[in-house]
Amino acid sequence: MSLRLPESLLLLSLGALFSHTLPAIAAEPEPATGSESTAAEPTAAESAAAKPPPRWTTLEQTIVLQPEQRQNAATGSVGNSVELQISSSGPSADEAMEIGIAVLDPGLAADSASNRKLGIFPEIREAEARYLPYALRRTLVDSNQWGAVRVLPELDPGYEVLLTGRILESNGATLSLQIQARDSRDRLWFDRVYTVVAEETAYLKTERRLRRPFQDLYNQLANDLLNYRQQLDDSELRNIHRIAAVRHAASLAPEAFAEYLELNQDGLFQLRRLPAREDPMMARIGRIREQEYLFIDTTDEQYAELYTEMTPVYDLWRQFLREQLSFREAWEARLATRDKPRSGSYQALKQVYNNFKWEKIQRQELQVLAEGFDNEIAPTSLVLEGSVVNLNGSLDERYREWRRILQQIYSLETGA
Amino acid sequence: MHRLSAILGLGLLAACAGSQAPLPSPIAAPAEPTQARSTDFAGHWEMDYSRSDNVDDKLQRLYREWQRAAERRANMDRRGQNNPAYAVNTNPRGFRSLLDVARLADLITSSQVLEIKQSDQDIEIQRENDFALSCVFTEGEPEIVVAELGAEICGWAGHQLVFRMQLPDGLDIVHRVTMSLDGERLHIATQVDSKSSQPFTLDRYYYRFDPLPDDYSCEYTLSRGNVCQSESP
Repeated sequence: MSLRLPESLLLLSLGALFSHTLPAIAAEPEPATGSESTAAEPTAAESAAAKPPPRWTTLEQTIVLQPEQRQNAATGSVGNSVELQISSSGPSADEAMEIGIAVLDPGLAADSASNRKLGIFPEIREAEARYLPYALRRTLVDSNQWGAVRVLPELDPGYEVLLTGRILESNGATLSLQIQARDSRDRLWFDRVYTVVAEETAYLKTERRLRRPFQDLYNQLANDLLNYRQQLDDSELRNIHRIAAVRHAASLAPEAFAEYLELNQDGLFQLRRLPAREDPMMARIGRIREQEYLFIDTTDEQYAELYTEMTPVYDLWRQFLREQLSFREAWEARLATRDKPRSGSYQALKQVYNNFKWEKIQRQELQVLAEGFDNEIAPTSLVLEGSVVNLNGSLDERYREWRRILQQIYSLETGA
Repeated sequence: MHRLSAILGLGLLAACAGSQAPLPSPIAAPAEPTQARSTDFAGHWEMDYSRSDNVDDKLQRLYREWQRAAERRANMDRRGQNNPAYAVNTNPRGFRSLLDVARLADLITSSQVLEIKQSDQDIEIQRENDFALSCVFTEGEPEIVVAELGAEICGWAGHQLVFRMQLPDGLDIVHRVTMSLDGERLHIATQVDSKSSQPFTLDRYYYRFDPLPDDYSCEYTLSRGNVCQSESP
């Protein structure tokens, strides 16, 4: 499969930018919080443009979903026990928060030898780092509780809610993710480890059509996000919308929008004042933002294609991993009950060697399977516009280039 | 999980390489293990039975030595002399244990064909009917892997590639891989040791061969198995 990135879109967007007038983002001119002071606070503005990536120090909760907790007692079937909270009417304007899900940190060890020891296959982890956010995105969209949900090639401060995370474990039987959710104020909603253990039957073909093996994890995460949002009142929701708009503007033109933001004593962003509804600069930013969304939505299609292509292979891979684990458990149980030959005898030495040999062969077969996985997934992620490049790297680069162009457009418009 | 310290492993590897006796022609003598230097072993190799050890012959030789030692011991005993140097060598249980490790050495070196893939970063020696010996080269340092059922250490000792496995019950296996100067012969010296036996070393020699050219290039995929394409025009 060949993925096509929007090179033509860049040119189209430049033309569209000057021929359409999109509404400004700032809907209300009154200040939301803070004073009218215009004293320079460069740290807030600079932070708005380039906030460092989140650190993993504030873990507050670990959620483990075991199979036995998910059995349906009434029917005996193994359905999703964590029900996704779905809205039939959709969110209100204030509730329709835009969510950005950053590509996950794959959680690789520092060197290849350590990855081998930990049983991590780096190429597969890299693919999972892009695949799993899209699976979460689908769940959030299905919940009908939010505005646009997008997978982001890299962190973007202009989102009302930003999800970041890393893969702690993924071995077919267990999926464990550490996820942080923050809003545009930089307030941490939660920092949790979600661990889900798949049922034995989760990979059966008859079951596969009904649900994904780790769907409970996505459902739980989506519900947690919703629960947090429901604790916010309308003014807080509006404030988050406004700060996101201004932070996005500040990321494109920090010199123009520095004065609108400041950090409060808790280190959270707050508005010092808002641009006027008719502010021409804000209108320009609004137009640029719409163009940026167009770009992101196009890259989102790339993730969708990756997701569609990868799903059957990824299911197979996780199924193999699961089977290996089960087989190993059974083998170890047999080993424990087997009569031991006289220590040091040929039979004893042979048994020791064969145990080691079996373990080695298992590991090496897994490596072959991992290579088979890569052989199927690699073309999806590597071929762009007919040239062989890495999807991740390429998207990152293109995204950065796109934002650079947006800044140039803004400078041209304002004559800065 | 074995509690094998990395330091101990490194020391053992150095000691093992350092005590290696010069190899018979046409295999080049091993260099001092002071500086890592990689040799390119890549290719297909088939066992050379004419040069390789035959385990039965080697055991018979050892048995004759053991008998001679036993006779000397018996003579000394008759003369009332007591030399503890013969105590181990003439112990019948000791020879029985040596027989056990020799059988195991024969078993684990029985692969007739090897395929070796090597890059600057790693090497993999695929063996018939056995697991592949693999090693990642990390800046000249030996690679140490401690797993549930055994610990491994591998790395360069001069131009020798050494794989060492320390398994439960004191089973200790060392493969030393060396190539001849002309690059056409491969030598693998395998030493097997156990807590109840003297070490036993078996030498296997291989010669290089070129496999028949394949008209197909195949790539393994997870969902479709091997996917092959004809390379003929």
